[in-house]
Amino acid sequence: MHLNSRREQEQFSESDHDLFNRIVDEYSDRLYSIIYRITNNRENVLDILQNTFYKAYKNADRFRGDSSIYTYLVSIAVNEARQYLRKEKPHLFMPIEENLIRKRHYTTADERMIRKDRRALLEDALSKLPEKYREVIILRDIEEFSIKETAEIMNENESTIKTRTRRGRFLLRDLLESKIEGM
Amino acid sequence: MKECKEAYQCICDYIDGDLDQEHAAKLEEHINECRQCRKVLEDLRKLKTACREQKEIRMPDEMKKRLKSIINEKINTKE
Repeated sequence: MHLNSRREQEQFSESDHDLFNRIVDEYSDRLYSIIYRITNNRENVLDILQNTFYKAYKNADRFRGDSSIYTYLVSIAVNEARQYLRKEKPHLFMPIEENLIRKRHYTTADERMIRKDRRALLEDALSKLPEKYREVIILRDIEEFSIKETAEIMNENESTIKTRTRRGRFLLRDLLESKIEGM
Repeated sequence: MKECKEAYQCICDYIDGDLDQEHAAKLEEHINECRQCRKVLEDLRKLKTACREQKEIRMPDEMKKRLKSIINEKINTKE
């Protein structure tokens, strides 16, 4: 479903109820994935999702069609996920020294991960990244948003996104170390 | 060593196809000579592919139903 036609943009910005239900159908799975990966928590995704869609609906008149509806929804979802993390998991916002990640060794429990498949290994490593790098890797490399779109979603400039992408990829490489070989 | 540091700075742009021709050629030349940077490039390429192939985490059907019902109720109440 493409909602980028002028008529659909108008309908959306007029808070058209039926179109909004179609949008929920179309995008809830993809937004669920993004929110779940950012928060590392399945239980609160429903709350974050309903706030995301409700805010999108309530502020639909602010949507001018400069970006796609999906990008608009993702920017609200990322913001809601951040607010959830700040409220519910403030300990996650303790500054994490990047070199600590480099020094982290896989313990026996971590070694069990070796038996898991590549997808599980990657999800695990992703969940260990500091939030700002995790967000950018999810958006750039999993969801395949462009630098420009990611900058728009994260409300940052493009050079910041480029730097974070580079650091995030190197950190992910450090976390996975020798396991990349089998990927 | 200086070349490796420079390579690290632009290797991601190279993978993303965002590096201009002149810098790309310089990087390729270095990578042909430096095993360590070649390994970094291979690893980052593999990681990027692995990320792209990472599956969408599917929302449970029951949750989707609940989501729609909660949103519609919220909208109807506030309207």
